[in-house]
Amino acid sequence: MAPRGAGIGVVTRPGPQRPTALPGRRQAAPAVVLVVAVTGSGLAAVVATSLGLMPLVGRPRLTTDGYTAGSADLLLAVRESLVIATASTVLAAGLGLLVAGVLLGLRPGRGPLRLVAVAVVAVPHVVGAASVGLLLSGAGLLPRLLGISPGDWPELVGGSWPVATVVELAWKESAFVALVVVAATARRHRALTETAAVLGAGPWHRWTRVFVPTAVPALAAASLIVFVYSVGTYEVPWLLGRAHPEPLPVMAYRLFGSIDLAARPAAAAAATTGALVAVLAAVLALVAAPAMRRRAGAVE
Amino acid sequence: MSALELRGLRHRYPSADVPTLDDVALEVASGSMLSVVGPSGSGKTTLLRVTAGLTTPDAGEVLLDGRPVAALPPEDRGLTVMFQQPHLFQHLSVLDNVAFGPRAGGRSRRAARDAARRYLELVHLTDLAARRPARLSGGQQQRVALARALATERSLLLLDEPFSSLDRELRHSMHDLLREVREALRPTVVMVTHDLDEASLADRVAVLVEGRVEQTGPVGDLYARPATLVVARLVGGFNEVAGTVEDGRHRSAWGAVPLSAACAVAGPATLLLRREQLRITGCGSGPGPDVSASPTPGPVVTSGRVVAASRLGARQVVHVQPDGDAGAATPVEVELPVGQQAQPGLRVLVSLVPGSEVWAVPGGRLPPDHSAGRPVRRSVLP
Repeated sequence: MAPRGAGIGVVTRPGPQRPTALPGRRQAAPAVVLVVAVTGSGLAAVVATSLGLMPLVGRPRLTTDGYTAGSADLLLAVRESLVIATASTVLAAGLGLLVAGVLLGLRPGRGPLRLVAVAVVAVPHVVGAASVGLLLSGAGLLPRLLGISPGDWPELVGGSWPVATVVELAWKESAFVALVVVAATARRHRALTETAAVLGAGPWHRWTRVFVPTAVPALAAASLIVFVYSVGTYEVPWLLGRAHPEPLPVMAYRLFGSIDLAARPAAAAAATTGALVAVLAAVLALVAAPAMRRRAGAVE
Repeated sequence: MSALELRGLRHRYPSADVPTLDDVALEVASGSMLSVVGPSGSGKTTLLRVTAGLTTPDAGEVLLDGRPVAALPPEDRGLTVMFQQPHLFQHLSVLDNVAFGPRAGGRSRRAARDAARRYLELVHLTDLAARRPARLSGGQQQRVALARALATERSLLLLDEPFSSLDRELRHSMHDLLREVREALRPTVVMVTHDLDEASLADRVAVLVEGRVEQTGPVGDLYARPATLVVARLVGGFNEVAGTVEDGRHRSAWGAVPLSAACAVAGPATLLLRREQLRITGCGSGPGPDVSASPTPGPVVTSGRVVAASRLGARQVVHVQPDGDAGAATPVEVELPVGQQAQPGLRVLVSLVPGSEVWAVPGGRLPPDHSAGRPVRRSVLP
């Protein structure tokens, strides 16, 4: 029992406060559970449908017909998706890195310019796709400004190469890449580039030997997200791409909306294949990440 | 010719009311070392950044070896900087960090690494060449940063409080290393610091206060002959007595105290007496009469009573409240020799150590927030 009225005062150093907030994992748990439940059940349903276990017509039967019946088209769709995703990711990463470097080099007080540079993130892809279509099509703004007739203008929209699709995705996602890279490197950027400068490094040397290696982990993470998004995006290639071959999401959507209900397994197979490509990319990135972090000197 | 010359440097940050640098002029001889000391916010780091080309001055010139460099970017100025934080490149090994400068200077990878090994040897870190910076201690990282700066083989080395984040032992070891480096390479060095002990590594010291150079000279001069009251307060350990100088004597409530012949002050002036220049002699009752009752060793400046005592390492510092007209003044601080001590309550005579150089600075009136005769106890310099 504590003594009362003993005239003793004790001053102690405040001990560590009991955490009032839940640890991060517990805090995130409700959202994570919801996302896993929705995505997991959706994915399970799609896989089951692709394997004939959830047919709209007929009896359930384990079969790979959804994958094999239209395998040639499916492979073409995979190739088209990989081309679009790879090209978009490479371009977005390069452009994003460039934008990030410029933004980091801006003097204080250039906040509005920073805002404009990354505001592209907020533009919906449908709006971006429509804008790129109006800009690059044969009768679009760009050929008109350049005074080139539609017949002489290359087929950038809906042509044999998914140029407009890649341009839209790269443009939109480059802002996302820039945002991630700036957020990850801003704290150390000025100090490191100034250090490099006083060690005799010119702008190019500072860019290649300091900024780029420092930005690599953030760039890789952002690029993975861009790649996965580009594999799964539907509206941009649907608006700007050609009819055939079509990328996986467009194929999946077309078959899913088909009046032929027996095409549902093929639609699900296209969706499952897209998910598989994304998962493979993520696994590859996770395998490469530790080495990349070590190389970039990230503190574990 | 001076290795570095700064002429009329002025700089003001857009949001600041007062200039960061106000007509700063300095010269550093080739192969010598200058320390720039001053309180926080005095413009020390800005001065270094302007010299390095990392900050643009509003006015003034920076000359390296007589050559104006204001228009040149940092990489082309022929100088290098070691910052307070090592800022090592985490994606490079220790060896490649040190080789960064030579590589940037156009050497091949092999030649740069060979050069880097030599400088790593100089800072005694050859064994850690393959390590990543994240796996080094703070002291090791600063050694790498020093080796990296030296490996550029540039003629001027600027050090921005490079050892302030290290503990006392590591700091002393880095001081020894800096002495070794100076001995071996004879670079021209400008070091910014707020530590007067560290500043004494240099041949000369410049005191920067509110963007102005208050005094330059050997570090001993700051203790013995401060140019202004501001410098005296920065150094710390002075007792201040307001009065007037006439015929080489400072006259105040403490009487007429003869000044050093080198002190050319006249008119209103503040007498500065270092606490180690004073001695006390017990002359009355009081607890703890441990002070020697022997005759005063030098001229008596005042008498009074010990009102407080504190320790400064092995020595005791006593606070003596003066009697009579001087009694209104704040207590005088006296640093006693090792082994001597006095207890509060003891009546004492305060006398000057014979042979002391007594100094005064212009300005008999103290700033409004200071009372006359207030001894300077605190120092912004530890």
